[in-house]
Amino acid sequence: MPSPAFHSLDAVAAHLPFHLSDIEAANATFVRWWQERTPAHRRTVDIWTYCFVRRYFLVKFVKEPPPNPSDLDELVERTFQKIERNRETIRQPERYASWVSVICKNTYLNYVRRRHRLYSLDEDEAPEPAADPPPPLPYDAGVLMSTVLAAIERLPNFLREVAYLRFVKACSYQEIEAHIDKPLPILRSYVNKAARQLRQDPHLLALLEEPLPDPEKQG
Amino acid sequence: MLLRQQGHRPGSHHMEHIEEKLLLYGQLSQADRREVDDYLAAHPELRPLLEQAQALSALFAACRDLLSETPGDEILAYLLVSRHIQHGRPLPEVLRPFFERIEARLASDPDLQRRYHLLEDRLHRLEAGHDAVAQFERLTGTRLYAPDDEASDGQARYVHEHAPPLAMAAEPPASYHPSAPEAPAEVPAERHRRADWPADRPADRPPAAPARLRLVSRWAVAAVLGLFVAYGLLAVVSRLTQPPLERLAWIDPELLDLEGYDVQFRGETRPGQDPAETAYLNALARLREAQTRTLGLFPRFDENRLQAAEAELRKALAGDAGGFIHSEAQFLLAKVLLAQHRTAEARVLLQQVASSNSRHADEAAAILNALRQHAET
Repeated sequence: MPSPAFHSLDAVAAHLPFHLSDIEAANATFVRWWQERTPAHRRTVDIWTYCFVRRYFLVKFVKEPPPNPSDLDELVERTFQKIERNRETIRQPERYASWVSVICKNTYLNYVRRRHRLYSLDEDEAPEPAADPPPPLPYDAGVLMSTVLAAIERLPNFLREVAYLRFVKACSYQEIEAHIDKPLPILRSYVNKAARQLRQDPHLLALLEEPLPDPEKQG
Repeated sequence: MLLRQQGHRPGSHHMEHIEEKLLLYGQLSQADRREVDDYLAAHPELRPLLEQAQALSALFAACRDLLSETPGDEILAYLLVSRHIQHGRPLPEVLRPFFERIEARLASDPDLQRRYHLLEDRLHRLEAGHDAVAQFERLTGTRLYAPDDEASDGQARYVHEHAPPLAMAAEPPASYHPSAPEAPAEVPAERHRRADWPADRPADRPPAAPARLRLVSRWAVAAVLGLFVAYGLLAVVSRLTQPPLERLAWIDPELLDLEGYDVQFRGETRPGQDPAETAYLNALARLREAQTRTLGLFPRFDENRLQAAEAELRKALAGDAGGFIHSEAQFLLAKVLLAQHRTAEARVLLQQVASSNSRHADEAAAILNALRQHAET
């Protein structure tokens, strides 16, 4: 049961027929709307997008409270409108969730940079440009974990564990050898194969793509 | 891929070594990083590859932070917000083990609990008084709740129905193909009307229309359900009231509807047609008329037409000893006799069919078996 102060986002999310973190379901719904253009699918896409965007910024604001918490509403609205304006330009409708998450990430990074410059000037009137702040984790945690883990799941069986240990856990070869009973040259060859396949995984690459063709639209 | 596009030999051991290191660029020792940098400095055309690999490396590093044994604030905040919405809806399979691990850790780690509560306080301060329903409706120009709902604002509406709507209460399908929720309720014309909303969306419906439509829809659904129930009951009655012999005697209509024989059903005869074939086709026509149903229920036989079919089948049997028509006519005649409750005569024919290599041999054996059981009871 949500606390009374946090019920209204739940009142919107309750209208989703799947979990907000279920990016496969979100992508499938978007593809159906893209193909069929029915109001019912559009509504589900809108609900998912709004809830995703609001949760994304809530998580960032909860983790690192900004000087002005009222920025939250404005950021949510600006991001939602940006997504809505550019929805028709999406190149890969089947990766809608990644596309939305990259727009959220870019909007947040722009906001953090702008805020940093503003407050640097307020606190120190020296005209020196402020150094960039340490980058916050800009991805949506659910999208990032789902995408990386699913990409590893898509590897052939014999590469999965080795890829997880090497790239997600950053284990050394000695540590991997302790988990997997294979000679070192074989493990090296597995890691290379996995690296090559991961670098070609379209879902992973979708998280790196610039979502909006016109930089001005990123506001 | 880029390496191959750039014309580098994929099997090269050194290149594989560099490819792997690129994916772990952020975690490399200074010596390893220098090796990669030197290689790329010597191959400036591979700069896009380095950028892509560094971005992927950052993705893996970010994922590593999230999955760390000691949960950081990012994943705690994500868990916190996610815990406050969509109760009862299971997390996607791929995320579940990690959140279960964090939940378990949270339950047993007082330091983590303190951090969690600090984040929770921030969340409440951020969300206090915020009406997400109103914001959603303003942004999309649609109403999440129908205008005639008793509650007038998002928070009050939530108090009234914090449980998910009935349509959403069911678990999502395993196939991950979500069903669409009901069509959106309409916004009064004076509210934000979006130019890009699909054209099939009526613009000027009065506010009460959706409620009336829903009422009519509910009645329509109830009526259809009622019809289904009534039909189901009638089907049960139909089955219970049909004598077992007649059930066994019923002929699959497809058997009576032979391709290429439709001319015969119109009462015409091909020149030079075999008399046995003519009789057989006449029998099929009589049988089609002899067995009838109402709305697929209450099957019954017409005694006169059964007798006419029997006469034609006997002619066919006499005119085609041992051929295909003979075999077919034998089986149909057994069914006709069963329909007339002449079990002993039918059994003789069924035994002949069952012991032959007729396509109906299995069915004939099954009917004989059923007759045996029927006789025992």
